Amino acid sequence: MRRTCIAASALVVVTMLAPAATAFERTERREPCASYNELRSPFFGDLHVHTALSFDANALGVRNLPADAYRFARGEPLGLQPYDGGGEARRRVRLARPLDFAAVTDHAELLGELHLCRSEGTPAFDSLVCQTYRRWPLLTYFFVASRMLSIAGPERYTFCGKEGVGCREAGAGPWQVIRDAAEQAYDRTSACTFTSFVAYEWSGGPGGYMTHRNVIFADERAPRLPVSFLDASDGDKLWTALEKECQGAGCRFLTIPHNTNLSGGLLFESAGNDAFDAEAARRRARYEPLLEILQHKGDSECRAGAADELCSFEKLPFARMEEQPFPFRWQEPGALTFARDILGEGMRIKSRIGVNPYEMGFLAATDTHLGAAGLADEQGYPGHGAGGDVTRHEIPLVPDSLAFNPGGLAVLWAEENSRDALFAAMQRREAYGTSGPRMLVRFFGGWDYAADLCSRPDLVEKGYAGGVPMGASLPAAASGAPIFVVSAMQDAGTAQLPGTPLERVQIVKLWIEGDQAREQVYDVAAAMPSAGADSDGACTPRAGDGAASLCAAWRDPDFDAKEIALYYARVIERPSCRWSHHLCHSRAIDCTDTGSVPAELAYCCDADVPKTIRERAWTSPIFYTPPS
Amino acid sequence: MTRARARTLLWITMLAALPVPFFLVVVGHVPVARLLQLLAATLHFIAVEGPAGALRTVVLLLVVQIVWWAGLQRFAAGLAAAGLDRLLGRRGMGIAAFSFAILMLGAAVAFPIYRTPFRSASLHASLLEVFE
Repeated sequence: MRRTCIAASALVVVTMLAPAATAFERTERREPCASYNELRSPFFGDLHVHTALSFDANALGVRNLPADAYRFARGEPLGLQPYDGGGEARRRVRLARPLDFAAVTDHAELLGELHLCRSEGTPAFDSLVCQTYRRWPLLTYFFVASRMLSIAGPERYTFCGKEGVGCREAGAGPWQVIRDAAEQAYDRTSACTFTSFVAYEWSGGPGGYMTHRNVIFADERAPRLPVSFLDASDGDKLWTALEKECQGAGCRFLTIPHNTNLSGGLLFESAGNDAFDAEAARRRARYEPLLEILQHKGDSECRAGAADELCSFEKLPFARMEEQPFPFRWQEPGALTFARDILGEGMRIKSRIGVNPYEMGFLAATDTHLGAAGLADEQGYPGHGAGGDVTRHEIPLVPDSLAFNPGGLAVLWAEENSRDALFAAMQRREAYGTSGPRMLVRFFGGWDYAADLCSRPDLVEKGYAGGVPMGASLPAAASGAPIFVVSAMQDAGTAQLPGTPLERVQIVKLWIEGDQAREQVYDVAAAMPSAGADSDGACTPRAGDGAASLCAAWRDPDFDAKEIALYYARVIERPSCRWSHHLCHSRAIDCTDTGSVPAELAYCCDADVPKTIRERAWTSPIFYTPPS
Repeated sequence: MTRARARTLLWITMLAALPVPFFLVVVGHVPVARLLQLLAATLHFIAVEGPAGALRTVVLLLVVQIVWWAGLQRFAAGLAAAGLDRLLGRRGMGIAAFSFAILMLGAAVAFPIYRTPFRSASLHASLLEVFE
């Protein structure tokens, strides 16, 4: 199964092929990109980034604006709170490798309220809410968020004027700041070094559950004001409102749901609710082609404790954020909170109405509230910048709750680094997510691939020519079982942050049997780990442990042509140090002298606290539909 | 000074200046009087903008903590006054109670002994800064 060198060469060689006919619609006026790869290149980015324009980040003392976030994404340093008396940031961070693309997705909700509370001279500035906010920002954030985001159709504050028009309109100012920053950051030269997207986050919280979606626009055209949860209280209303707004503005959009692990299942309808006719299902699949499978607030792939042992990865121990401070209230996430359940439900709906509303691919993101786009490294993690921390005032010893993580990255396979090409990649779901490392992963499905494809230098050409890439649907076949080819290269890393070798490649199959969704995980390629290499917490990779690349051509041994199915690949690294344990190392914690260990770092000496993680990547699925 | 007056003096000093831990999603250490100030502000907020959201929960959390700490401090002040009375007599008790009050308030004004995450300025604050 292991065809390391040739597969790796194939991945590199194809990036050097000459341009051919454009495979996506060009809608922009811009210089053509000098670099164009008809077999597509991987572009790394972050489509979930908050700045000081988000009410929660602002309450925590974040000062970075969208332009700062984009500069950071492009490789410049970024200052983080706390700030000294002269306004100098007391912390600085910088990406080891710049991103290829990013989107600042500040919360649309309270955009206007925050702007008014910060704008001296307006009547709202002297209102009770604004005065309280400036005096006690964190406390007021709790007041405001719990009022405005937890029920549908909340009443805005009195300073917003009749029907809240004042605050809604005031959102136009910061919204323009977001759009301008995206425009300025977008590299429209032929170098095509960086792509930004006009975007925002629609953030509902009914009953304390997160029904959050990022709204990404294809280009600079966007509505005059973002449609928020206060304007449209569920996904259907959001898409309807965006359709209407975009008719005038000429924009195209897609939405990306996230934190499904904290959603209480409210982002998705179950098959039993008869919520869908075929048209509604098609609309949903069109607007929501991707799902954020991992970010700061945990992994949403599959339920911990499932038969799949690798599901126990960055799981939150509670089902709602408001449960976090009260362990006695922690509950297990309910139905339709993990990607496998959701995708399975989509196939169940498809088996009834013929259309899958949840035909989604995967990506990952940071959800940073510091403006630190793409800062997903475990080492040196500076925290998240929202919630109940006190970074406004002091540099915390432990920058985040141990339950959280730095988040991950989105990877798009596209012909070039332009908005048209990347947006098309999102629409066709040729995307994958990683928990931070920059592994390179190709995933193809077809009916007639040669068994030795992994050892051929034209793997990618044959992959496209003889089948479909991640995110696509398998064409119908006369007979036999499909073959899936997955090729993965480890993150090359940097001198300071070397990459970790790969441990194994898996294919996860979901299918409908009767009316039930089933799942099975297959190990299709593995590097034999050296004895005793697991989880020693030393945070130092061992030479020869794992593989630089893995590749497999795998035929489904249990294929039934009559069953709806999907397949996605999961690439697992060898264990590496978790952010929380990096901190223990950087502080030289000596567990033999417990008296010297600060209380906040007592976890360093707790055997029950994981020291290592298995970083990973999840490809978008390839979908199979039986012939009708 | 009577024992009751000494107890009241000690109690008021504690309420005004003794840092006690509190929980309101975040944790901090402030005098009970600060919790009373937050309660008053929350009630004002409710009077102006209504109780929607978590305001009722905030009021409940504050009231519970205020009652708990105020009661505990009342009990401690009573014990202290009785002990001082027995050890030092009326006059000595009065001097000791005044001394405690002056020292406690002086230290609270002079040093940033409170941790108050809700302030927009520094996290650690002295008594006057807490109520700014």
